[in-house]
Amino acid sequence: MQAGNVYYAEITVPERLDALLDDWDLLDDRVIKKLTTFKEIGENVVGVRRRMVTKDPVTVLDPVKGLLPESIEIGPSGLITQTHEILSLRITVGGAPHRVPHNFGFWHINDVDELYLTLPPPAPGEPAYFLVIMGNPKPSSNEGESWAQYCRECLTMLHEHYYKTAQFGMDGHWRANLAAIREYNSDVKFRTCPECGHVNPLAYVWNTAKDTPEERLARQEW
Amino acid sequence: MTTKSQPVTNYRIPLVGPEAPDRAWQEASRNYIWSARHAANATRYGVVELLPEGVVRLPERGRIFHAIPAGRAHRIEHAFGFWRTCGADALYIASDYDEGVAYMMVISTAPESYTTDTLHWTCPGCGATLHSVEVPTRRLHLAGLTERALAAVRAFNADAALRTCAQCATVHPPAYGFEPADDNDEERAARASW
Repeated sequence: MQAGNVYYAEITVPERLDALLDDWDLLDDRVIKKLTTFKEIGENVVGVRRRMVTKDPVTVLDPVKGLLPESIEIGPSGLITQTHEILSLRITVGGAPHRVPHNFGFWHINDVDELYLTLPPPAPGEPAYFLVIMGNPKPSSNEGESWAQYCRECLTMLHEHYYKTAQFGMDGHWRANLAAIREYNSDVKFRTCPECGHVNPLAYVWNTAKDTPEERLARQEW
Repeated sequence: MTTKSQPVTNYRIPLVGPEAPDRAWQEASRNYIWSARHAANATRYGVVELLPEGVVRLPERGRIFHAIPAGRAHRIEHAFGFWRTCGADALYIASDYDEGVAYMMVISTAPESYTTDTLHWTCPGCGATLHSVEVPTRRLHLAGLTERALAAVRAFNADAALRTCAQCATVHPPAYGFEPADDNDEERAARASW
């Protein structure tokens, strides 16, 4: 602990803050570029997307993926749709299957909670800030996530790939996710419901650059 | 398949609008969440942190998203009147909006390492530690933390010896807890002033 006036000298100069605290404002133009996918920030994993958002009705327009009008969870009574109003926190509780149509073509089941918050745009006509926050499982934990597929007619689970994030980390996440989706797409038997016979469309990953022509069509469909 | 309008967990927490409280702490799933808002012309909440180099105050910006790592003492001015050292990372967000400024702090209770919070006061004159209280948050949860914090605040305020620095004799002003609704007159005045 410092003594005298030094103790109460407040440090507010940005350059001084930069030297003391790494990336102290995650929305700073210099920092936000690192968060376009996901980045580990201490005990959390954080992503920030810039998207056009309208208030009434609530619509979200991604510059690459187009309109993302809602997100969906599977609950005890079926599908639950959610919108992401500006400055309204949403939490997808760990264990709840969820997806965003046209954004990622699988059901994500995360052991950790996922929090979403949209901040207003800096000026009218500019993109808003869509924040995603989730826990960063410690290697000592047993936490992970699944990428699942359910029958679009009766919600029977058709396919699931579990990834132990705590052990393998975010680095291997994207590659493993792509492998899981490609396995599901590789054989129509995976996509055919054993209960009702419905055949699901192809799946697709979060990153549009990975889409095959067939997956690109699937992204438009569901 | 059915489509319903309500999320199964109901974890939709508006920070602004008629449904949003002016200020609130709440436990939502495995998270402690503080939210607040005020008009554009009101005094902004300020975040200050204790570093070995001194007190760091986050500059005011139209929007800010800041991570306070576990173990670093911090305060939100006018929100709680003590230094809090949390056993988990705290994520702080502030954003201007049409009618003012909205705030949120999120602390995940998921990390097993998060077992306690330490609340302490330092001398405003020389920085010496005056009084410290450890709260077993993992066991007590948010409600217990809030109760213990208020009890610690009242003990601190009631004892001039606790608030008087043994090194430089500066007297610390009265403190206040997490919940404005719990404030007595002295705590309310303290919340408004620092």
